[in-house]
Amino acid sequence: MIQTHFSIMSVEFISLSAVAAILLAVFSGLTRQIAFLAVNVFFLWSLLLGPMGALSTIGFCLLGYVLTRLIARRSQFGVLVGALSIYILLFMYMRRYDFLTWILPQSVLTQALSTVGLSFLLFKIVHVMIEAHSGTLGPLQFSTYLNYCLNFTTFMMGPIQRYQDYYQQWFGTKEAIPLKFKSHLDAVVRVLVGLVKVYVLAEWFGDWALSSRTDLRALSLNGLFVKVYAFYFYLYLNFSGYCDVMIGVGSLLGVKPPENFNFPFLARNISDFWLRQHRSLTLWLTDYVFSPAYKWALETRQLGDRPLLAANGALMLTMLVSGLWHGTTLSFLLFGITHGIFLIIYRTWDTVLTRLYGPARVRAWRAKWPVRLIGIGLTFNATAFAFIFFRLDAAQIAKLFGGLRML
Amino acid sequence: MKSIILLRLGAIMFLITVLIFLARTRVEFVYTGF
Repeated sequence: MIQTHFSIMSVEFISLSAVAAILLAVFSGLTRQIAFLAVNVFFLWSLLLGPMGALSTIGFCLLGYVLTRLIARRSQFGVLVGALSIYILLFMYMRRYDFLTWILPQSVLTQALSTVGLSFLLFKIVHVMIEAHSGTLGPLQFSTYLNYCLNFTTFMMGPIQRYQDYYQQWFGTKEAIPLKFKSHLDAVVRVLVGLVKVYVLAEWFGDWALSSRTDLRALSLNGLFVKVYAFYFYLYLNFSGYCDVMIGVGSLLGVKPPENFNFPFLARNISDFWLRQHRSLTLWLTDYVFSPAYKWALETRQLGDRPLLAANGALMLTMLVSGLWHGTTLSFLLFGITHGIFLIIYRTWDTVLTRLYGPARVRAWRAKWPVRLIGIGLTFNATAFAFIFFRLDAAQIAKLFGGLRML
Repeated sequence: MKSIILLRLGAIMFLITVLIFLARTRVEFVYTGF
């Protein structure tokens, strides 16, 4: 895992947020852009990444800008595919994916370019490239683009904001929060709730949670359940708390990041889960992986009259991309495959039920509370156990399954 | 209106107190990249 000693409760981060809020309220036009860029570069250089990481990150953004300009100028599909391929390969090299050790000599591989936030940055810039190709990006300005990429409220762990959303809020055509004292107090409360989630509640669950040091052979079945559930809530509180802080800070700056969580443990099915958990990632994957893949599959001769098969194939592809995006090792590929299987089972079940009984009866059946409870229980357990892949490597997972078979 | 503001100020003070007494100093961010 990429380590960072950065703290969102440090005096440095709180001071930087306060300075940014004042600068963005006082200045306008190009001065406001330059002031925000200075804040973002200071954040990357001094608080998060250090000089080497900051420079390679800025270089990554600049290459993204050059490629986006090229894509916008030449509308051929081949240019988009070529640019995306170059960019994604560079990202894989910078993040040093495990499989690269099979094809590249050790001497050319380096960990030095693998910086915090690179995966989030990749998805933001790929979104800009695809929208530039479709002509739906809106005005691409260098200073706005750079601040969109480096924006310290969405840099480290998302949420993955869309360029258009950022642009509209930055230029005031869309309001981040109402210009009322009450709304600003709400933003401060949101920041503090987020800090309590990350620095108090998540850490309590963290003490009980599954870790890479857990001795799996010494664990009883009950002990395993406790550790898996505790890890689920640790992950949720750590990530959603961080998002609360950034959404609160962003609201005070005037550019609110998108919402990312909506009580995922209350999801009634796996599809509902992904709309409640890391929502900005799900929407990105839906727009740029699932929808194009599904559309392409329906246009082929083999899958054109088999929409369920086409959808299931697109779902598996989407979850493979999601798995590879989450991490560089085999465990994350397994995480993606597992969620792909969950989604395929759910979609097939849903389609078959609807075909047999009709949508109205299925809807009425689903509204019944015992069915809801079963759905929530199944989804919670399935997703909690799938998060095991976040903490264990492939060898540990094999050991765990070996141990369970013996129970 | 006044009570709405007071409620929020109360929440802010409560949350700051919780943080002062219960917050851990070093925290790992799980989603920074695996």
